[in-house]
Amino acid sequence: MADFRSARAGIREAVRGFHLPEYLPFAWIMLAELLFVYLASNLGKTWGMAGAGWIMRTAGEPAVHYPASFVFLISAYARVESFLFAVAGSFLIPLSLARIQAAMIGVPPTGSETVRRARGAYRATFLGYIINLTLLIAWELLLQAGPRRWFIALLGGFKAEILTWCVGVLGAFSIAAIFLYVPIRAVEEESSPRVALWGGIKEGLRLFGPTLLILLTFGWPPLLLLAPLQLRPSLIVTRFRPELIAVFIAIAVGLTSFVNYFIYSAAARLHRVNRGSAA
Amino acid sequence: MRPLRLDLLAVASLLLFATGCSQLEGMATRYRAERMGWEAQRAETKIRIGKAEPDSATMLKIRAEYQKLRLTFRPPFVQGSGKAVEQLRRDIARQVGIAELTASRTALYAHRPDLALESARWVASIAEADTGLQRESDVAAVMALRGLRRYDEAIASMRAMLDRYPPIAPPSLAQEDQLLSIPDAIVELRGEMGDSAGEEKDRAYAVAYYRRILASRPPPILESQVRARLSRTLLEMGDADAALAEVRALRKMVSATPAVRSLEPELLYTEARIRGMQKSYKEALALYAGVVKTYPTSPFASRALLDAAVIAERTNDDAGAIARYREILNRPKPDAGVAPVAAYRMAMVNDRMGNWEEAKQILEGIPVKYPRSRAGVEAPIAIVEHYNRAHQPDAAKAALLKAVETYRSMLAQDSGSVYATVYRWNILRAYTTLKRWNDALATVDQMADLDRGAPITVEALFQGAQIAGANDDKSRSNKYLQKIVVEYPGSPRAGQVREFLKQGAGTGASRQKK
Repeated sequence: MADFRSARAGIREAVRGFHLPEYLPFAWIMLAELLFVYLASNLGKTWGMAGAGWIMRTAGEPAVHYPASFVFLISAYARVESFLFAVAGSFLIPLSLARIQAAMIGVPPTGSETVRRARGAYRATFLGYIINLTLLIAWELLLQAGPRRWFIALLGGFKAEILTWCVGVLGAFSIAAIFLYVPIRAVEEESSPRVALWGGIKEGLRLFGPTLLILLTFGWPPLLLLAPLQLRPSLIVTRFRPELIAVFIAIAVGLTSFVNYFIYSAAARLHRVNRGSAA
Repeated sequence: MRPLRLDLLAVASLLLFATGCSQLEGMATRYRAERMGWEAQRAETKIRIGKAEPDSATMLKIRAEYQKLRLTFRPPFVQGSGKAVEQLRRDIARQVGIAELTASRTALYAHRPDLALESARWVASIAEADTGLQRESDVAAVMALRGLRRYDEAIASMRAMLDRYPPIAPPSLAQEDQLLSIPDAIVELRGEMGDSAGEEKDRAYAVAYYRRILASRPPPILESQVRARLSRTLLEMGDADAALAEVRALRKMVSATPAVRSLEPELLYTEARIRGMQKSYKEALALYAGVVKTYPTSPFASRALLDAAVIAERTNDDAGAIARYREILNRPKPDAGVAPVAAYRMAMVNDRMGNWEEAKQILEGIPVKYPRSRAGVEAPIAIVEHYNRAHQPDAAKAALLKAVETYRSMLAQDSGSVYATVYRWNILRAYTTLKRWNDALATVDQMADLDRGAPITVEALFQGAQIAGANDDKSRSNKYLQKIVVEYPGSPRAGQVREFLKQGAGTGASRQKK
């Protein structure tokens, strides 16, 4: 119960203690994602096709045709997001965490020390993210092969799709909760990649409930926005305007960027409280 | 050596860059074309909202939306060369071509076949190696030529299509290559032209065409479709034995190929028709009953009932005929092609049996229920003819006035109907019988303007010349006769009219009337 109280306190503190330098690394990822969405929404321009066409094509040939490109935009965006989080995020997320922790250990948040810590955390964060992503893909496949079929047989149609989506999101959040402490531990001074990875996973499992609470508290607004795009993208394309999907994704990108920052900020606080009480 | 290598590298990079740029530019252009096509579709939906039957101005507005593609993207669409660029060029041409063909179709609905033809010809000019687009542009051109009443050109185009494109075997019997329906369309067009000799000649041409396809050993589904059409055409030519031979060959195929089993109702129906032609009425009736009983939901069930009813009429079984006609009309979804004929024939049988009131009620209902049918055109006149036969001149006169009213309301409902010319012709006949000369001449003027090119318009002009001549309006009479000579030089009336004009204009026509 004490952990849940600490998690709630962490959530409040994270919101109250927003600092731009801590958030900025997430803003860089957001800008790259927004650039992709902008390019992908302008495939009618040569520069748009040159910038995003090849990424869109990874989702299949229809993804570079109108209006199908907007139906495929959400999956192409997911690929870009995964890539950015793995490659750039493995440095930028620890950088943000190092800046959050800087105030706690009494070093300047934008100094070279935080950059050094972030650089040192790269390998563990990258590995943690790759394992997280692999588990996510496996979970998605498992969901399609098993529960989705049962839900369709039980409820049928749209209700089954909504339930599948909810279960899918809950599973994805649970997996994310387990790996959330890997970068937090990786930026700590004494942490080696191996210690950070296994220690982070162990901490994630131990604090699973409170961490899930943090994720769900911050995670629902972008999820609400993404739900129609993931469940019925073709409906938006045919009934409304295909370009609406890009607008929704852009808003979701902006929201997700802040959400990620708040989640890591709250988790870092929970980690600190936990460590303090353990000591 | 080193600078040379760098040069080569630079040239290779430049070439790669240039090729990549052309391809990216082509992909972006294709994307823009797709978006414009999509926008045109959306605009069409918006324009059509609240308009169940859009007028010509609305249709032309829709056409303008689809024409934007042609006006924006100009051949060759993308610069550069290479396999990928060529493919992109074809993709864009297809996108623009399809939009322009929609514009062509829309122009046709707007009663502007001239614009439709221009669009179709433009698409043909950009189709190049895209046979699919070429075929579609040819079909659009034929439709436009029909709209322009340039029937001979339309028939020539259709024949050229049959020579140019081999039919495509469909994946299932539910689909059929449009090309296979062209021989029938040619025969139908000859019928519309009133050219019965040409009709026979084109039926023979159709038979030869179908046989040519069969000789090339097509896949089973295509073969079955061709054989079915061949047996139908042979039947229409009255060659029952040859039709029966085709039916037998088809039956063999059906039993050997599960994919063509759905042809069974048609087979049974065709066999019944053949028996009917051979005057084996008992056998034919049994086979027709078999179609209705075994395949009640097949479109052939209605046709079987109609043909069985006609045989019943021939064998003086009026009650049996009426029962079958009633069954056709009482079906949950009456066949739009068969039901009007059944209603008309049922009225005729009732009239013959002395049930005039019931017959009249049915005849009056036909134009309302089936306005787009030949029976809808004939029903008002059938009422007039009944009163003429019954020597009731006042009732006949009233029925004629009612017929005019009916035709006028049908024209108001759908001025572009394929029967519009016949409505006006019947109005003219009614006014002539009623001796309302001014109204009759006004109708002739309408036909000269709206039904230009139709064979029946020649008759209307000739009749107009006679009426004007009889009413001492020689200049009007001459105007009509001149129109026949100038606008219909190939019509059988033209020679006769030339003679009249030589003798002394309107006098000849009025003399003939007298």
